Amino acid sequence: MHDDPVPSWEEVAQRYGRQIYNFAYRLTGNPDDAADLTQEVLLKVRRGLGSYTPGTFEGWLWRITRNAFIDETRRRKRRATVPLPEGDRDDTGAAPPPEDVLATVRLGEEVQAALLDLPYEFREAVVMCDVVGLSYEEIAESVGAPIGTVRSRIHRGRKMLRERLS
Amino acid sequence: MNHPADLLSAYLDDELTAVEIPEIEAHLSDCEECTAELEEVSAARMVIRGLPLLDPPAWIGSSDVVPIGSARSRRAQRFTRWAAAAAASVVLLGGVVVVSDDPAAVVDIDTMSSQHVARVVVDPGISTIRGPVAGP
Repeated sequence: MHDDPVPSWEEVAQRYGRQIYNFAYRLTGNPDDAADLTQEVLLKVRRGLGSYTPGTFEGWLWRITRNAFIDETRRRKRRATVPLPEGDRDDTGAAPPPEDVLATVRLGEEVQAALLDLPYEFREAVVMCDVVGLSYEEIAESVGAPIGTVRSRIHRGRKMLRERLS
Repeated sequence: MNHPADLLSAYLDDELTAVEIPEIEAHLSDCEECTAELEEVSAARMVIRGLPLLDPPAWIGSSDVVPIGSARSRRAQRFTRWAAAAAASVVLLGGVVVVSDDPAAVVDIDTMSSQHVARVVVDPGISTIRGPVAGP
């Protein structure tokens, strides 16, 4: 296993900010909570970078992200809300978007709602794999579980999602 | 082999070992149940991967922005509440009190007592009280 170089905080924010935001958004379904959580994670990363010892940077980053997310959601105890449609809202009275765009928006909402309906461990594993794009090994390191557990959570999470969407 | 359910997603994600791959493929060629399950999780996988990646707000990553409700801003709120409570205790000693988070909001004790009496007089629920209540 090679040691990743330690990036600066600005590099972390630039390179991972969008991924962390999407991770938080898909787990909460709430853009404001996702933004707050992302900034909280980045500030924690900045405080922790000084004590980071070279290893697998992604594993370290996503462990912090995951723990910060769990801490914050426990504190807030706010129910996840059904998300706004993807993309910009149109309040200008302009012509409605074409049917295929509406269908995409509805599908996005349905998938998001189905994700929010999954038990947390399964939702987390599926989002880490299919939204963030982490490997099973990186997910296992981030959540502190064996690879076999990660395999199981991803598979069962996808199955549950499929059932909820059908 | 038994139905290798949990390994089907790992197969789709190319996360199996070189030993496991031919075993799974041999099983799939002979098991309709697992083939159907593979198609189901494959569909779910494609749907999630098809979700758009969203752009975070522009302020994300600014080193001077502390999110609302964060641990740090909560600490600041706790201090404000503590300071307000400490200031409120001053009124018991006949001093001046800060009654809100706004440091400019200062009310003296005479104003407070006159407002209190006025509220008592106009409240029909306690109409028998006509003025300041004498102490024991």
